[in-house]
Amino acid sequence: MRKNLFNVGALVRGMSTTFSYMFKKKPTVEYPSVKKQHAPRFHGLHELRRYADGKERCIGCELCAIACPANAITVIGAENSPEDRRSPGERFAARYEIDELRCIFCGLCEEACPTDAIVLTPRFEMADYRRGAFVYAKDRLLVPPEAGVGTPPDERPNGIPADLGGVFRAKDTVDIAEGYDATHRGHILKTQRRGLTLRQAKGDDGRPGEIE
Amino acid sequence: MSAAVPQTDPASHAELVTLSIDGVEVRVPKGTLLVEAAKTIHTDIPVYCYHEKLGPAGLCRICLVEIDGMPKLQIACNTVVADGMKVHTRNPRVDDGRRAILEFFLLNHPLDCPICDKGGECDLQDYAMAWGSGSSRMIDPKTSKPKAVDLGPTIVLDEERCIVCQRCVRFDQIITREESLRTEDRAVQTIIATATGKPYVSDFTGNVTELCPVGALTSKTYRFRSRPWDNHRTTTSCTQCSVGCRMHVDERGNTVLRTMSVPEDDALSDSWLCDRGRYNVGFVNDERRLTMPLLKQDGAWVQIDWADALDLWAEKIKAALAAGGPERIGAIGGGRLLNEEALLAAHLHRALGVENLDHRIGTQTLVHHGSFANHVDLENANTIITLGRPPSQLAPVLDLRIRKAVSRNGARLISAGDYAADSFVPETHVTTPAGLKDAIGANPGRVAMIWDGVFFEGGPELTAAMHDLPAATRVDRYVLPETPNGRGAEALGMIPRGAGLGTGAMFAAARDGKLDVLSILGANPVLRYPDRALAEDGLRATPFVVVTDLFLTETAEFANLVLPVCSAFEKSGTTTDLAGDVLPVVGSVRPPDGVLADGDLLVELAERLGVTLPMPDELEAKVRELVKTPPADGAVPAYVRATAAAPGGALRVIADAAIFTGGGTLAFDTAIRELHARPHARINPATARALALADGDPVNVAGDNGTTLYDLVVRVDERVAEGAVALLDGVVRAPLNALGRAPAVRLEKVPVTA
Amino acid sequence: MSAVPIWLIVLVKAVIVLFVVITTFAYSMLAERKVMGWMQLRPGPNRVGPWGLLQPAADAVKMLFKEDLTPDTADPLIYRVAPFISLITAMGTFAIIPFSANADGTLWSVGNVNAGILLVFCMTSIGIYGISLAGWASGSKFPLLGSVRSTAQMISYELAMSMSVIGVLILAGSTALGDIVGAQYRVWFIVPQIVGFVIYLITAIAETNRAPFDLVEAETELVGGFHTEYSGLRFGLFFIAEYLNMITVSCLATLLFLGGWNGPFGMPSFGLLGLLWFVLKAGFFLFFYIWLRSTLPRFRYDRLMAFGWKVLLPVATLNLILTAVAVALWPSHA
Repeated sequence: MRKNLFNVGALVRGMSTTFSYMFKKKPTVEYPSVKKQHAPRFHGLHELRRYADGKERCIGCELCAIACPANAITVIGAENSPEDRRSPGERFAARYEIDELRCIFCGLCEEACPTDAIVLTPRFEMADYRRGAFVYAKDRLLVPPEAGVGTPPDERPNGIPADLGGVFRAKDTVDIAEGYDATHRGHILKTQRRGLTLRQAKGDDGRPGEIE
Repeated sequence: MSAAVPQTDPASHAELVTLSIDGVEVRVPKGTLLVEAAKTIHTDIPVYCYHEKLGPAGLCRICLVEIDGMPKLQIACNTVVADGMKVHTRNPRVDDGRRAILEFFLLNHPLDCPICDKGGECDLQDYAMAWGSGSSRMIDPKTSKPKAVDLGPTIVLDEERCIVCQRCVRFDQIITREESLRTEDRAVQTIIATATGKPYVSDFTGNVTELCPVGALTSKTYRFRSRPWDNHRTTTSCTQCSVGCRMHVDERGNTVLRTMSVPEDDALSDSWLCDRGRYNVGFVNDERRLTMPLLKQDGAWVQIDWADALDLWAEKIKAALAAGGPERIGAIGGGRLLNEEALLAAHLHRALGVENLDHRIGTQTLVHHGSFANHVDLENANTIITLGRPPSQLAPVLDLRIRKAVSRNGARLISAGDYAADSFVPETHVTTPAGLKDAIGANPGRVAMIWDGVFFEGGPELTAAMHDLPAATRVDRYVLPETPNGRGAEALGMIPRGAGLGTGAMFAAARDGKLDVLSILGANPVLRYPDRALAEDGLRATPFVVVTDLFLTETAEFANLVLPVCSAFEKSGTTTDLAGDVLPVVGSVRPPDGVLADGDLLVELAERLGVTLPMPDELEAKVRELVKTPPADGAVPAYVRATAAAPGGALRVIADAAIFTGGGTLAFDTAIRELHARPHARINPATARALALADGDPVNVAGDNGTTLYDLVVRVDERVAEGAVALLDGVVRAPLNALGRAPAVRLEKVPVTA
Repeated sequence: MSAVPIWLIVLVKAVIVLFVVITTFAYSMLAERKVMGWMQLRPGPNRVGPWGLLQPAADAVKMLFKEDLTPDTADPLIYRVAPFISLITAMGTFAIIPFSANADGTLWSVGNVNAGILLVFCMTSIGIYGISLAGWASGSKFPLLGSVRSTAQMISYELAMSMSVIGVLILAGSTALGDIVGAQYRVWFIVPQIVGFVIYLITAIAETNRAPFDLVEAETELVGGFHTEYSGLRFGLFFIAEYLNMITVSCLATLLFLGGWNGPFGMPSFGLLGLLWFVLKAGFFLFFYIWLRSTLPRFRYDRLMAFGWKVLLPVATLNLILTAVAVALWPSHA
């Protein structure tokens, strides 16, 4: 105790250290105004890719869902119809939802995907005020047809070209407006909670914001 | 460690042979197959074509084992054990053989497991992981075949995936005996096809999807909807008919996706399920399910609160008790409820002094019989006599036992009366007492009698031979209840006693204004009661009718108060099968918010009426005791089917049953609309000639009460008696009961326009 | 001069002092966050206004709009009054602190009290009640522990603090703060009273519950000590009181040991120049506080007590005796 209390030298050294640090260069990245380069294999928001002919790569096999350690992925498959063929095989993902709040961005879904359909992009700015907004469904995950096929996992860009930090701007979709209700689970709860549904036209259930 | 003792019938003193499997000594009865002998020491030998219930076929050759002294690898599925045999199921040579066989299978099998529905529960996938080489030496492109071949209303075949193990074909030959599937073409082009290109129609189609070791055969209702690892599995008893097959229910996201048979269930289902039990699950999540009590006010439905609904019900009962006593109250139903619920319903009403209780809503008079003979007894019968509607439509899986008994155990099948058994096995159809006596013969052996519980004119005379059997004859009686839990409901008290009124008498009393409150618990008498007009009049005249149901059925439309209730997938309890066994029912999904089970309603009602019900912990013992108590004899026939010829050239009506009929769970299941029975008119070829009708013609059926059923399909069938027409009962579109109680009808050919 | 009533003069002075003091508080808080940020290689608050200069305003708005919670188990009256005790006593001390003086010796203070130093001690001692009562009235474990600690810590360190200051008083021969500053015209008391100064410095930190003596708050152990349950404006009041106390003890250190508004080496300074000196000296102390906080870890409680009773008090007493003896032997020097 004595030694510690009366070790004025140590005290002075400590004080001088903190004092000198005052004038050092600060490593802080002032994030919103300054953006740093990512590592090339940075794991951010997911993206569902397409083939060059516009078909979805995802075949709804749910291997990502079972690989996901956080149970963040929900996939519900359906059968392709000859008139409206969505993916090359028989099966396609009728619903594909990732709860980005649960996601730990480990990339196991990407590893599990047999068709390289789900990839993690370097996009990371997903902040929102509503929990429901973090459930990303196909309308936001799937690369829009006009935006090409998406980046293969092994060709991920290094750094921040243009808006890559920003999440793809499809924010104000029906899904977001409805939040949790628009998700699979939410939908089940909602439809089951509905009261008298007899002879009631579908869609006439007072759902807000039927934007099409 | 002692050698594992094989599970054999202790009564049989079959000679045992000793062999060694992987160095473990095994004693099994003589004649056992190697693959079964290995199971006794929990060694699984991979199989594709072999199946316990189908027997060996020797097609796939994946089950290779090495046997000392034999130069080549042998197939375990078709090798009978011999004394002193030394078998090796895992060694480099065996593994090499299996690897080679798997390479053959995978030559043309597409490797699209992520797409394939079987992925995750596929034997080929599993064995390829265990023994496959991981790569193929095949350099030519794989054979391409059609991917989604529609085999019928329920099954889709992927010809590329098929490994031609022929389990489905053999199921159709050995188990159902319907023989509609076969293999076509040769070598790599071999495919499974239906005979003569007809759709694969059967009441047991779903079983082939389970038998298929790969993803070649898939159910339309389940195709690509889920993966095996998503599903939460519950094991329950099927409540679609009185067989009560054990079944697995796979649920995902509170949606019942599919039901699967339980392979270990040898006692009831013999590991098969009928298509009604397998595919009629879509109603559980149908959007038309009722979720709030509905009160009819000025002819329109109004949603009301649960508490108000129950108060109203109790109030009406109290008022009826005060005004006219318990005889002004009645309750119908129970055959679709669980045992516990039926018991509570009977207990509650009897406590109030109400005797007007009946679970029988159809033509059936008698359900409960003293007999507790079970399915295995039926399988071992020597002479099987069916009386009334065919078991294949009232208890389909039971019918498979008949087919097994006849085709494999050498039993004789006799059908007596208006109905042929129609079981795809040779049968003797008799219509006269003498004919029956001849058919039974002097030495019938063990007799099983299957009756649909409906009295008919001339019945006692026809069945006289049944009472004339040699004294020592063992006779097992089976009565097939019309409702799934009819036997339970009857045993638990949902039958009138003393001065109580039955269903028909209640409707008559109601029509005459003698009934104030009628509670209909999970029943649809408007569709099923033989006289629709009486039922409708009775319901209309009753001041207060309560109906508990999942949907707004035909009967519910007549109610003053409709209470939504849980389906059998949403509640747990027990049900009673036709053999008098109490079977567990286990809920697998949550009911829609706010929906209660019938039992809960009865408890709430009892509380409001001040009736003390048995406590839940007493219920089970009480149920078991009552179910095992044989009934007092002497049921008075409530309905007697006419067999006399109709007057004036009209045709008398025979009511046909079909498993895909009904106005509740089936009518509200849109996923299997294709399976709904099309109303038909079966007539004798002679009748057809006389009326100038041919098979497939559309006809209208005009009843003698002025009602006409429209657009039925003529089926010419020589087993129908002359002067009679067999019409399907319980079809919503063309309800047979609208024609009246004992109708005489005329067929009118529909003119074909354009 | 006589036309203006004395109370109005005092009132105007008080308002000016309060305004200055509160502003000082606001920016010393910002300064603390900035300086600590720099010392930890961070930029510190820089989002509100240029260089974060409007941060105090943002904080004030935040405090105002936060919900003011009172726990169910609290003693409602005392719980609500406690922050005001702390704040009022903390502000009260500024009534007698002279910030500068005119050439004629008139002090720049709200009131010139001849027993000024005693009044300051009185006020700060009463201020402890605010903390103790707040902890006790919260009706919750951690605040209670915090308040118990604060009581013990205050008693232990106030003794040593008083001892260290009495040396100065003996040298100055007065308890009026103006006279004490005047007595340091030639040589600051830090020179003869270096021991007393060091002890004062240490005990002052302890008295204001600052790191490394912030056992009363001790976020890591006691969540927030006496103010765990406080939120919103009432928490803000404690916050203000703590910083005002910091400023008070800095001012006192300046007055008692560093010659107040006098420049070094006998440089005479009056009026605004004196004020500048005063502000510089007090500001150095404030900076020292912050510096210390970002350098030293918190004391362990038993060591705090041992240090107070076994080291500071004996040394301060010895210093007092030596000073007294010296003054008695060479009175002319004083």
